[in-house]
Amino acid sequence: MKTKHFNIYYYEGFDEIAEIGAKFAEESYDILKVKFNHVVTRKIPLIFYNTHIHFQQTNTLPGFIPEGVGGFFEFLKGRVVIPYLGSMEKFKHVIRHELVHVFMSSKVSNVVRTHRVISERYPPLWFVEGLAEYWSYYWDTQAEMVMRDAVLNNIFVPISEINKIYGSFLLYKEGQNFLQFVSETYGEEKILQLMENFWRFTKFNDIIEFTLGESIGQIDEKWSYYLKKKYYPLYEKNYPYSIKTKKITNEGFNFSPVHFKKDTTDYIYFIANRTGYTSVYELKYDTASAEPPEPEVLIEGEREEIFESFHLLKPSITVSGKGVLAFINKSGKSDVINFYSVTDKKLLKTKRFDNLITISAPSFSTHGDKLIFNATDRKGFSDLYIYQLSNDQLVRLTNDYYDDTDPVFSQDGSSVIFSSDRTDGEYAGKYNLFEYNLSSHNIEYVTYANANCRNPVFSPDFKTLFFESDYDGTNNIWKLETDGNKIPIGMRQCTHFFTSVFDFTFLDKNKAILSSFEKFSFQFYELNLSELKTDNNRFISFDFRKTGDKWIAERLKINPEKQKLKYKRKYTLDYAVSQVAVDPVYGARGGAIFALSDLLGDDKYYFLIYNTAEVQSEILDNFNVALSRINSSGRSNYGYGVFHFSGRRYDLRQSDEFFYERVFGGYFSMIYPFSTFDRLEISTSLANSDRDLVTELFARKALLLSNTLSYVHDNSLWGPTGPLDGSRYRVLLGYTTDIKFNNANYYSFIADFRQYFRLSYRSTIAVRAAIFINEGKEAYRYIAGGSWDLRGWPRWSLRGKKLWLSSIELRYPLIDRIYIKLPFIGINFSSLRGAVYFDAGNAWDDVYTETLGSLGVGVRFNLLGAVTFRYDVGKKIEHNFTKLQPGLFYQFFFGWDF
Amino acid sequence: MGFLRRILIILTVLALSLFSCSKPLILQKYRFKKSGAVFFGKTPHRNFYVPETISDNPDSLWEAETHGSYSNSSFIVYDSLLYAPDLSGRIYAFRKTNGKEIGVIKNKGEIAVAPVLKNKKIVFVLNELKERIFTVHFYSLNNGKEVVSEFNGSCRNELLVLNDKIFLLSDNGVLYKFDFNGKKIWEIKTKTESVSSPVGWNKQILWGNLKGEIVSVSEKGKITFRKKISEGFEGGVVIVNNNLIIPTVDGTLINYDLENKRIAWKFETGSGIKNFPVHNNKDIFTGTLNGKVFSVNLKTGKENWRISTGGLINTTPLLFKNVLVQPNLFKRVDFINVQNGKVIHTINLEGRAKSSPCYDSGIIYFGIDYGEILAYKVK
Repeated sequence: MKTKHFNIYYYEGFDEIAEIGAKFAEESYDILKVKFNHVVTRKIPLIFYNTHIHFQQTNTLPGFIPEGVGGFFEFLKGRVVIPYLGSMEKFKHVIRHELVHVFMSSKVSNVVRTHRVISERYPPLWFVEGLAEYWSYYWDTQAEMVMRDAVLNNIFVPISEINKIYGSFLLYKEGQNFLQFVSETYGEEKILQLMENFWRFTKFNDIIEFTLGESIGQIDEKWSYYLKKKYYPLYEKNYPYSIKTKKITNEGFNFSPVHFKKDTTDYIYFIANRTGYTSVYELKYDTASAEPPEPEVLIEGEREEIFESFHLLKPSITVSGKGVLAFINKSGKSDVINFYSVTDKKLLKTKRFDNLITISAPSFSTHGDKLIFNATDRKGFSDLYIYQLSNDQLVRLTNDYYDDTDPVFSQDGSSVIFSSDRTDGEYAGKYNLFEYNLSSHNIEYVTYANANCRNPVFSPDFKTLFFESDYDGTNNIWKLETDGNKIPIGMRQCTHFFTSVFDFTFLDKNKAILSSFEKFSFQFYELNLSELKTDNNRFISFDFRKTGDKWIAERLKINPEKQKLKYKRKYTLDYAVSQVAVDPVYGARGGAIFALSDLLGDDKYYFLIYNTAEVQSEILDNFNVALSRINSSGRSNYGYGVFHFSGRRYDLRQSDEFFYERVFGGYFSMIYPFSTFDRLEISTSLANSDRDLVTELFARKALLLSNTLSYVHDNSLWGPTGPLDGSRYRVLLGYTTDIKFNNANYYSFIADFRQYFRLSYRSTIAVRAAIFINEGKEAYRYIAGGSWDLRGWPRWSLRGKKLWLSSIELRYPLIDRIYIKLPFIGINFSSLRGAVYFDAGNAWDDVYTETLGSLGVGVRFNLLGAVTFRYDVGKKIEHNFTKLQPGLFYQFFFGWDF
Repeated sequence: MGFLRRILIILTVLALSLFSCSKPLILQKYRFKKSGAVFFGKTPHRNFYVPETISDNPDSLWEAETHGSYSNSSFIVYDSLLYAPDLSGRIYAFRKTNGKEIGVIKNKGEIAVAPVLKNKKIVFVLNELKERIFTVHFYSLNNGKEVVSEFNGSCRNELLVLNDKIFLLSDNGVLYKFDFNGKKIWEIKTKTESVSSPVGWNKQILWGNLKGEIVSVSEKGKITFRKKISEGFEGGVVIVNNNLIIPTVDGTLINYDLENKRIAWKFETGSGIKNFPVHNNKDIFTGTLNGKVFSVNLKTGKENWRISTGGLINTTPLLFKNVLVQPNLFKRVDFINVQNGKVIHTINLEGRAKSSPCYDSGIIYFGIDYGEILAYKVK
């Protein structure tokens, strides 16, 4: 879709939401151009995905997008990529947020360019993200929760030390709050001035000081005072969880508790990422016990396709009175619902619905024969569905763009209470509670408040409806009050926690288990509601006369014939790199690499050209050129290309001699994923190879056909320097033959297994066993030695057509963080990890010579998440594994742990 | 052979020096026909009206380049030369008829406001790079010598010449008075940030500050009037007869009667105004950040017409008898019929229209991203 300022890309069938998004985008553009006093003159590419699941698979970025990412602005082609998450309000927020990035990036770039100062500068992340939040959305419940938590629990970090929380969500919210503070204290115009003064100083803190007219220290003092003045008065009426509850869990992030009583024992089932993997847990809970209980993993997630990934931040588990646990996870192309008997500890069935992509908030009827849930279809509509277990039927209750979620059945099953942003009238767009009558199909208001009311939960006797509301700033528990005719008249606040309650479930009529946010963690707390005096608490009455007509999201008016076009690939340059080098062996050489791709990143072309000629007459003989195409638009990714390489070579994997080789041909490769964790890789190549040994007077000609087939498995969980849990392996079979001259003919076999045995949250024992074999005429050699495999031995000093390796390594945390405060800047080093290792292996051609090995200790350190530095000290095991070397070896290199 | 090669290298270096490097701006041999000072807005009242009728089909005359781009201030034409300050701290002089570069003054920093020219003296303000100061330069075009004074903060307010003296209002609200020799006569601190260029009226200097006050300072440096009438002022101020027309931060034009000390009328545009309103003594015209242009009856404050141009307007237009020439950040300049607001011609540009247009002897000059000057013949 082409609009005035955007080119919008979306799936077929997503037209309605895309046109609404287009309207949001154009409105945002008009608002932001005024705020920035700047216009973006190019058309902005906007890519919409109908669900987060599809967004995660975008080809605009390499890799898989994590669950928590709600959209991004990508610099290479200036693309804005956004998923629709079911809520118009969120959609509007994310569109505006990402467009703030686009405008800020353009503005800052324009400022430095128009002033002709060095342009390779960018504001710090806290400002970039803080501004995107500050100029895209109001100060919402989430922002309030995070800042209350930070200030009242002394987690707050001032601007002078903000790098301490680099990359965290707190950084975003502190950035947003700081800009709000600047606006209120120094004036809104200062925000823009921070960008307009960007040309003037190289350090952003200098820009802040100059723009605000005070030192960073003074500004921090004022900001700290501003926050304390705002949040300390909360102590009068609100309280932390430690005062009114009993903490049950201490590790990981824990969500969606549901309660089931088996005989006389209470069990809590929930979703958590206590080990790094997100899994379903079972907690045997004794309210009388003073000891915190230890949960057990019931369903181990994120290791195999059936339980590929869980949606940690969304309600995704429920349990029936008969002990059937229904939980949702992504498996393959969409979400599925799994039914699991907690009494028999058995998976009963897994249900996938063809047109439903994401599913959340399941809840059983009283008799356990029906399951109601929220799901998103291909149009992006987030609606309610009932699945009848007895006849395997799915019934759709709502079908519109309002976000209907958190449904629960009434006691008799005649109606459903749910939360929705279909609120109209004075509080249009807020999430209130509604009742869906399953006989008449009428929808009536249950609450009508200027707040978001979510997650309705009936008390065990069904007499009281509790729910969460952010009326007082963060989510607390409220209850519905009705008149004598059971007509809702208002809501009364039950809890006054500083920070939000996320989910809760009743153990009995008084006790509830809460999943709550405190000290930047999501833990479970036991709350005794009878100990809270609620009668005199805040009461908010409902005035249903304020409701009005349904709100309608405005769509951008477009001419379908002129403005709606089928996507056609147009290729633009991603990058071009050229290089000229001189070395003492090969002389001068020069070359370049170009990469082109289409806007969706589905199709990429790589073009390589370089020349290694020493004199002009050799130019044609030393021309190297390759063209490849990689297509990742479908499930199978494939690539093919042609190449011509020629020149003098010295290949460690071959003879010790220099040779001249001219090789040309083509290749095809394909990757077929069975799941996120397992894939098949196929490649075939045909190459004509003419080789002249420099020192001898004969030539070797070959027409080489090479085929390989690999099976790859990887469900490893990575820590800062390498894998911590799971396993990885590759098994490869290959055959290379000269189909014309029979000068080369060999087969290849690789089996490389790595298994990680978790000892604790951050320590593991890693084991590797690998064998590499090339056998036959003119077979290539494998190389080993060095920090990546056989430590202590010089890098690539071991060569052979056959190679075996084994390693065992204990990985453990050494130092979590070192912060060096220099007079002008603070440097933060995090995640120093230790290792104790033992390696063994060797490479050989025809006759196995000896076994080599090493043992020692090492330190690893990850820099900015990009590169791991490794330093090892140890002793080599020499003389066929009989003797330790005298003294020690010291080896420094980079690279991830195996 | 070696000797010839050496000569060739020397000649190449010399040629590069001669043809690629800019000359310093020294105009010793120039004879100026013009007398008196020229500054932004021509008069202390800031007047952007040219009582001439121009063609609505302009012809491109010449193009020239500068190192940096431009703020929403304008170039200055003085005698036969066009002076172009840029955001990289340079002031270029071009022959106004053909765009030939005559010379350049180089500094490190930003020149965000138009210079003042008088005889062979050019006065300009430089916001210094990597320093928390701005400097005021009194540069002699005769010999390249200059008198420089430095002050804290920055200055993005246009210079004002009143009774042969120069007035400068810094962003932090300090008003300075200089003579043309570069001597500071006095300064007065108003202790309120001000990004609204001052005007001269009745031996007083007036402007609006970010607190929404109208401030008046006498030529002797005394505050004579200070009154809050809005939430803040940001755009340029103009004087029409005895009235001050000033835009507020939220885009309301206020007509303030200076004699009776009362608001004559208010006109809400609905969006911020960063430029100077322009008038022809009958109607007043203003453009807004959301891209709208308004014509308002000067006497009554009633709207004559409005148009929505789409882009963003933050530059001061030029007003002729027949058309309003309004640059738009969205890469164009609109020629708008002053009677009905109809866009009768548009010049589409390669880059964002950055500077306010400047007119002299039938030629209009525009500055666009990234340091390009365009001259168009309109008569």
